[in-house]
Amino acid sequence: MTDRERFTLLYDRHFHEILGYCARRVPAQTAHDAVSDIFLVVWRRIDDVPTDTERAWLFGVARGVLANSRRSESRRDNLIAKLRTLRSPTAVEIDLDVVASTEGALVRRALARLRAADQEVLRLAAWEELNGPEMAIALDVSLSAVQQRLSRAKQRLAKALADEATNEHRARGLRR
Amino acid sequence: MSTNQDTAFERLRRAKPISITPLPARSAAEFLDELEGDGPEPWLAPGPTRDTRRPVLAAAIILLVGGVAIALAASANREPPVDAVAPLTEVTFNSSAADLPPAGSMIGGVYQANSLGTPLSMDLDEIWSLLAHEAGAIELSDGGTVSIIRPTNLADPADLAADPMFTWPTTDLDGWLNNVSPSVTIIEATDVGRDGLRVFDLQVTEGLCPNLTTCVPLLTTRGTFDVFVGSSEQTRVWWFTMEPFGPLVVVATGPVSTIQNADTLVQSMGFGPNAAHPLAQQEPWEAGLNGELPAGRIALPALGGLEFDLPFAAAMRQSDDAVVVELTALARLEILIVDRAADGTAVTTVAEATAALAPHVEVAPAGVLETALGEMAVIDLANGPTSSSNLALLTPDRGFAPGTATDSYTWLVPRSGRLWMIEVENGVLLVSAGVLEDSALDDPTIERNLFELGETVARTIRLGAG
Repeated sequence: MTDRERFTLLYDRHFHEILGYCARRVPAQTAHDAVSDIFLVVWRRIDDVPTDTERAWLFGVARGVLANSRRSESRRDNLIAKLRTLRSPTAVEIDLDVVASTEGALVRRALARLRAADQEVLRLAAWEELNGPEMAIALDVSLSAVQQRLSRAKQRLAKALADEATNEHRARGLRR
Repeated sequence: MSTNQDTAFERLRRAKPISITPLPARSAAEFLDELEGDGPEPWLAPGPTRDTRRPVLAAAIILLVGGVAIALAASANREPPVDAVAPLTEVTFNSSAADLPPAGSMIGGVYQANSLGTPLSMDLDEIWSLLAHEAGAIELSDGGTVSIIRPTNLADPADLAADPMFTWPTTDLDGWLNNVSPSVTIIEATDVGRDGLRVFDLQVTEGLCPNLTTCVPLLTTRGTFDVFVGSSEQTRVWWFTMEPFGPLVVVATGPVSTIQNADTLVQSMGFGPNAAHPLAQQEPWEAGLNGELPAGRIALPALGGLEFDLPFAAAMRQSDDAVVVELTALARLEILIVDRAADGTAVTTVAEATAALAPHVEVAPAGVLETALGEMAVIDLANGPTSSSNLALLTPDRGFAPGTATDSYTWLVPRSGRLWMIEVENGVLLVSAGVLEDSALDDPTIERNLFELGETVARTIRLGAG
C-alpha cells in the first residue's frame, strides 16, 4: 500500500470521529481548522502511524493539535493559511445538540465544573468510547494511570452531578 | 458509591453532543492534491527525511537496548522496589523563580507557587505536565500523579466508602496511620533529616473500598480537591507538618518511576514564610474556585477582580474570562468582557457588539441603566437560536492556554434574554441574563428572577477590585 493509499484509508475511516472529537471541544470553525491540521500531521507522519492502534494514535495527535491550535495565529505557516482559505465553511455543517435537554445541559454543566484533565479522560471514555489501552496511547500515560484518573474523575463527576441537582432544586425554589 | 459513579458516567455517556456531519467537504485525494498544488515541499514529505532517519535509527537502537534491559529486569522482578527515601536537606526558597502557570502542559524550569499559603519553589523537569493549579492544590503528572496540597481532612479509615468521606482531622496523622491498617500498610516511615517532614509509603490492598475496586480516598482540601490513591500502584506521601498552620502534603502515586521523579521533585522544594491554607483566610470563590455564593456583596478574582451585589444565594462558576451564575440548567447570568465577534471582527463599542448580535437574534434597545460604572445600555433579545453553532461574541484571546477547553470563554446567543453593556478599557463589559430554551420560560418566575439578578449585578458591578 502506498503512502497515499494509506492516508486515504485513514482519512475515510476516521474523518467523522475526529471532526466530532474536535467539535465537542472547540467552536465549529476552529474544529474544521483543527481537522485539517490533524490530517496534515497524519500525512507528514504517515510512516509513524501504528497499524494496530491507529485510532488511539489519531486521538493523541488530535489532542496535541487542539492544544497547538490555541497558540497565536501568527505561528501559522503559509500552507495552513492556504488550506483555510480553500475551506468552505458551509461545506460540512456541525450541529452539536448542546442544549437539547435539561438533563443533557445539567450533565455537561457538571462536567464543566471538573478540572480540564478530568474532563478529558471522561470525554475520551464516554464520548469517544476509547478503552483503557487506547486512552493510555492518546494521553501518553500508563494504563494504570488512566485507570486511576478515570476512577477519580468518575468520583468527581458523581459529586458534581449531585451538587448540580441541589442547585437546580434551589433555583426553582426561588419562585414567588 | 460505585453505583453513583456508574450512574454518573452513564448519564455523561448519554449527554454526548451529537455531531451531524455529512460527507467530508473534501475527499482525501482532494486534500492531498491541495497540499501538493504548491509543488513539493521537503517538510511535507510523509515520514522522516534521510537526515532525520539517522537519529531515529539511533533512538530505535537505544530504545531496543533499553527495552531488552527492562525486559531482563522485569523477568527477574516484575516491579522493581521503590528506592528508600533519600536524605533531604533544607532547601532555600527561590523567590526569583517564575510563577507556576495555570493548569496545562509546561516547560521545565524553576517555579514558585503561592497557591498553597506557604510559598513554595521547586525544580520541575520537563517530564511534568501540570494537571491542576488552584487554591490549596497543585497536581502534576509524569504518567503517574503527584498532588501537592494543603489537606484539611483525611478519609476515615473505618469507613472509606462513607459520605462524606473525609472526616478525620489532619492534626491526628498518627491516629490515622494506626487506624488505616490493615487495608493500608505503612511500609516505611523515615526520619529524613528535614525538620517537620515525615515520609511514608502506602501499600493499598486491592478492593479496599467496599464499592471501589480501583481507588481509595485519601485526603481532601476543604472539599474542593480530593486525592484518591490506586490500589495497584506505588504510593508515597511526604508530610510536611508546617506547624502551626497545618500540613503541606505531597502524594505521589503511580509506577516506581513516578515515585523516583517525585523524590527528586521534593528534594528541590523550598518553602517561604509559613502561612495558613489559603482557604483558611478566604472564601473559596475569593480564591478563584467555583462554589455556592451567599446573598450580599461578592468579590471574585475573575476578569482581573470584580465585585457585585447578589440578591440571593446562587451557584457560580468562574474563569479568568467569565463568571457564570446559573439559576437553572437553561437560565443563566454571564459576566464577561468581549472584544471580538465569532468571525474575528473587532468589538470595541456597544454599537459594534449589538451589530454582531443582529444576524442571530432579534435585538431591541430597552433604554439605559444607571450603574456604578456609568450608564449601561440595556438590550432585549428575542427569538434567538437554539443551536450552539450560532456563536456571537468572544472574550480576549489569551493565547496558548493548554489544558483548557478553549482559548477564551465563548458567549452563546441565548434564545431570549436581556443584556446590559458598557464600554471598558479592553472591550465591552457584558452582563447577560439569558434563557437557552423556550421550555425554561414555562415558569415565568425564572425569567423574572433572572432579570432581577442581572439588573442588580449590572447596577452594582465594579471592576478592578481584585
